[in-house]
Amino acid sequence: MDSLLAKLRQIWGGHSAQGASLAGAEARREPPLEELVEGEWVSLPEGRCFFVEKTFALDQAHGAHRLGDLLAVPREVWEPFLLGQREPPFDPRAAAFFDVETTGLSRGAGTYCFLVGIGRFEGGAFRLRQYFMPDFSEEGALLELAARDFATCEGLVSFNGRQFDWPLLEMRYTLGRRPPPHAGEPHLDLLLPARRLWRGKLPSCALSALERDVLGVGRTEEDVPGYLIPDVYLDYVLQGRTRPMAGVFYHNAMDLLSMVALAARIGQVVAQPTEPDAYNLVSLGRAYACQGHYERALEAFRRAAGSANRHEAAQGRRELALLLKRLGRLDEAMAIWWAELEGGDVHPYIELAKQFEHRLKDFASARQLVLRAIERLEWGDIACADPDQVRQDLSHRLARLERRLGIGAFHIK
Amino acid sequence: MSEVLGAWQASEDWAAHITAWRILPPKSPLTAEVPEALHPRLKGWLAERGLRLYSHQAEAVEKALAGEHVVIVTPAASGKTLCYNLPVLDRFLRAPQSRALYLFPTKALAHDQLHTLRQMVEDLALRCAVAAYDGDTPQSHRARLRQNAQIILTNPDMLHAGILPMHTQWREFLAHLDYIVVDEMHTYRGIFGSHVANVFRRLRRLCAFYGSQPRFICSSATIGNPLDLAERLTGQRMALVDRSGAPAGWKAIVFYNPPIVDARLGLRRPLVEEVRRQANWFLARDLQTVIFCPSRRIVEQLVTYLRQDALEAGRDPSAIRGYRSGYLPQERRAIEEGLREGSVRAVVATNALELGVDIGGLAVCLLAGYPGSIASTWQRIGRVGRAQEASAALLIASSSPLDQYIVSHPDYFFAQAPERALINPDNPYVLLSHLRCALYELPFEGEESLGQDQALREALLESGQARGGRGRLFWAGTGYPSSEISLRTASPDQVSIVVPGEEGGFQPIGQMDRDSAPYWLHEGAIYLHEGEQYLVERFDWEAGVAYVRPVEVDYFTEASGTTRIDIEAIRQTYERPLATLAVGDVRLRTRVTGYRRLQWETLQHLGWGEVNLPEREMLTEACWVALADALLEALSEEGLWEEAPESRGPDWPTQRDRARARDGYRCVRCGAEERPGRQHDVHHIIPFREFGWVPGENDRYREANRLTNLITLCPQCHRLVERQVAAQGALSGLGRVFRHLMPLFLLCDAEDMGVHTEAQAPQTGQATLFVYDNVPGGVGLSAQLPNLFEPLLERSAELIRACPCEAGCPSCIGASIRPDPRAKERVLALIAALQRAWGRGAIALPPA
Repeated sequence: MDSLLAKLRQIWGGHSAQGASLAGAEARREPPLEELVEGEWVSLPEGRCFFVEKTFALDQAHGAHRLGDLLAVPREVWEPFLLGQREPPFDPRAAAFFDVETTGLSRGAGTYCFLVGIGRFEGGAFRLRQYFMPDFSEEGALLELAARDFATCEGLVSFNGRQFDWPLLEMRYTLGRRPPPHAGEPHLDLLLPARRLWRGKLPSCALSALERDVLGVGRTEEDVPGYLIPDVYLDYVLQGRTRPMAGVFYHNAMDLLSMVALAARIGQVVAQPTEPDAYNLVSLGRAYACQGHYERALEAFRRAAGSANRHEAAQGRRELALLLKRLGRLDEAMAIWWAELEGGDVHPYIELAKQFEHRLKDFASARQLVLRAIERLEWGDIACADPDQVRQDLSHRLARLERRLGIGAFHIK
Repeated sequence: MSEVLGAWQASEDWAAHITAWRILPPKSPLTAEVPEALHPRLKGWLAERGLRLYSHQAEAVEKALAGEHVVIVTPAASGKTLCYNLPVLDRFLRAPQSRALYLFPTKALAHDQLHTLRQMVEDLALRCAVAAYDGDTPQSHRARLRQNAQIILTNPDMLHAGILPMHTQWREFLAHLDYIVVDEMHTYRGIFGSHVANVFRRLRRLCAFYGSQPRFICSSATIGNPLDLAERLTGQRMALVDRSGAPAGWKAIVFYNPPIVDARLGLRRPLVEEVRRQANWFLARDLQTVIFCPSRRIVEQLVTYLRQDALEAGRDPSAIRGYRSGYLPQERRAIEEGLREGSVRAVVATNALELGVDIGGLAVCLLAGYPGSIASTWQRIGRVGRAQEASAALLIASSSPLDQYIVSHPDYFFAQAPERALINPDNPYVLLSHLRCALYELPFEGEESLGQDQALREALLESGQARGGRGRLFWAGTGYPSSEISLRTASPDQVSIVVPGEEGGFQPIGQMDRDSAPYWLHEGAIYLHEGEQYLVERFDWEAGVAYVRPVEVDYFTEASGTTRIDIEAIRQTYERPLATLAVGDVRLRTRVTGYRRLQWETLQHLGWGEVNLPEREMLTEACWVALADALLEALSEEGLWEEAPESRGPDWPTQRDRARARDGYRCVRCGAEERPGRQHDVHHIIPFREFGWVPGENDRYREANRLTNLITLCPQCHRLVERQVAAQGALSGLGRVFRHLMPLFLLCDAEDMGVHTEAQAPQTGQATLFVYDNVPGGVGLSAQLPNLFEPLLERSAELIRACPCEAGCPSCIGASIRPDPRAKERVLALIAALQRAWGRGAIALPPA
């Protein structure tokens, strides 16, 4: 046992009693939290909580947007992005924008939510409240106050909250033997539409990247990068270091404001997609199609088809034709495939051949198309993902067509 | 069977080599009334099937229904699963919300049980979801299983890293958990068992949080201390059920020592050859046979031979199957099924078959060599004999001294109790790991503890990993501690073995743990699988894939490697004028450096190959004894190291001169030049004797006299080096004795410790014996040795003196190919010297 303790002292030297007292001395020079962050201490029977409240005018700018822009977005825009429960209908005016800061990235029982930020539109302004637990033993107060706040909201807005923040918060309530807070549904997780819109268009769909590349928001030096936050909190709890902790309040507030601005941008784009090259309209269109919003999906694919990016334009036309086919608008679909025949892809040949064979019973035309496709594949001037498979399918199709046409066996090498 | 054995004895000259012949008389079944308290549906189910309960089953069920924690220790195939399935389903019938957790040491065993249990649930028409939950369970199924499964089958590793840390997702399950079934309990011993005991402490803590108080039902193979192990493992008072009511057929246990074939060298007929002859004799009489082998290679060798023999004798070669780790699960299931329904007539297996895999009851069991412990010998013997049919088990001794000892002292075996399984849940290293996990899972309330953890809690507080407040103790870390802590000392990492598929791509044929892979799957190795030979063409170490292709060659390969220990930090030193004892951190490096190709039947050496694989590295704790030159000097004055001069082979004069020329006629150790009139000596790095040259018989002197095995030394340095090498021999003998004794002193398993000796260790510069924790990071076992050093020396001397062998055997100082007649004497002299160096009484410890 003694040797173990000696070894631990060595391994954990960075946090040893001596190290702590050195850091403690440094920390003693740092002002208390309430001098760095404007807020107040609240004492409940369960513990102490530091409470921050800030109000932002609706016309306050956050990057290229104003916070109030979101309120002008038509409500039906959100429907394709709401997973799970949709009742009551989602309304950003009633919803809680929320973001938590945690002591770690895992979703296990030892990860705490030490700062819960909740923002909402209230009385003609955007109001942001932050609940902070100053120590592990004080968690009860944070859970109690945050639950009271959530209780007056309908619905949630988050960024990756569906996978991470909300389940983690629910877990904290379970561990604290409390019922989970109200306001869980409907939950708009902005990560989903953000991915739909910008995947492949931006190097990253992380909130910080979207903030920089889409919203044009810059942060001050006070900001603490996300990956450092767990350690900053431990330094605060164990060694009383307050300065970096103040930066976490700033970080959390900025995340919430950026969520408001991002929601506004997403809403605007979805309601009225413009400048096709800036968004992944194909992906957006697929999202509409999945949800049964076919007219919007067709519109998105049409816009994609008009893109200056050849690859995206081709994808847009392909998706457009496939959706038209699904909707039974076969002539429109066929018109697109005809136009695509001289492009670099094999699928218009196959799609047209299917139409001629199965619907129009024009086996000869179908055969012509299949032969042409085989020929072009042989030359290597059209592309497909799995040439061997496609070649095999084509020769099966050809054989069947020729049986139907009564032509003798015809072998393709 | 008795007639068969009579015929067996009479055939050839076998009777002359039998050293023991014991008969276990048949036992008729002892049944008992189905416990009154059992749910009527289950009584009905038993009655419909005409099933009566054996006395031990009734006893176990009754105790479990009465709310006791139960441990059941009965032979293989005595119906242990009913002992726990009945109480679990009884509970479920009364409280449909009830949940149960079944733990098996491996995934494969869990999947075996899954079928049995599902069948029973189906027969009873119960709406009870039974599922395996382990590393193979797809992520997309997990949430559903957590919510809906009533009986979860898993392993301790998954419980530790995948279930307990995420316990809020399991709250329904844990809140209604009524039974924890621990099958194959005897596997949870040593450090692994100590870890599992702490996993159970954590589990019980979380159950208490959610308001449940589950009962444990453990089952175990025969070991010396089942009740003690069960109570330490579960932390509960247990009721022991160990009087089996299952019937047993007549069984003969025969010890057989193969005949001496070369009287001059004292060589016995090789084990593989002997087992092959015996197996063929039984197979020719169509008796279903299991053959337990000490290594994977012998399994493959025997499968090859027995199939050839079957073909020649007109029997079906495909009825002979191998069974060992490395076979794919589907393949194993097929073999087990074949054994049960009789299409497989012989299975050649390693201990992979020892665990509760159901293979029915076979007629004959051949043990190719002593399995190494009394407990595992009985476990293997227990695999044969259907309910009331006669069976036979033959132990065929190898020429290893341990086997020879057992086979010539049968009473030693039959009179001894099986080994005890030892664990120490309060081992501070193990406990610390789980204290961190437990804190992560739930804060500690007030006086709550996980074991003897007071000092550890303080250390965690002091280091800032824990934080107190409002009378509770909280986890204060950013990580996920269970992901850093492995319950098993061996790495769970697997390497897959693939052959080119028929239509391009690759197909897996087997797998192997990464630690063994360098020895078996290096490029150029001949890998044997079900008797088929494959050449390893490429081994992609990073990706963990060995690319092999089938070949037919007449040789096999044998890898050899080096082990090196570097001292990283010294924590405590106990210096004496003649020796130093120290404890510290070491870095253990092992590396496979090359391999030999050996012809199958003749074992002729066909050539060497190099292996280029990364070193395996382990940081751990060690205790070491370094011998001062003065001690060696004193022993050499007693004449302890003297050796009779012997010939070094016909090429020695030439090789000697070539070595001197290569080294520039200078001592490679001190740099001194040769003086006129006195040539320097040339020294064998690996001692000449170890190559086993027999004049006129082989030419192994050539290998011994390779230039790479020779160095030039001046006479002084040579004497010093020779002394160190001799001392290393004595030290390694002592190390082997320590290995036997340490588990008793440290409550661990022999596999938890490692021993290594150096003639001249890089850091101490002296002949040094290292005893290390065979667990990455160390677990505080070897660190206790300084306090135990004197009693350990004393017990070592007793053990060596009491051992009846002449020149060392695996039960004492170990054996070598060419036994050194003075070996025991040397180790005893070394022990005496160390005892003198330490004086009488305990070592005065420096202040901690």
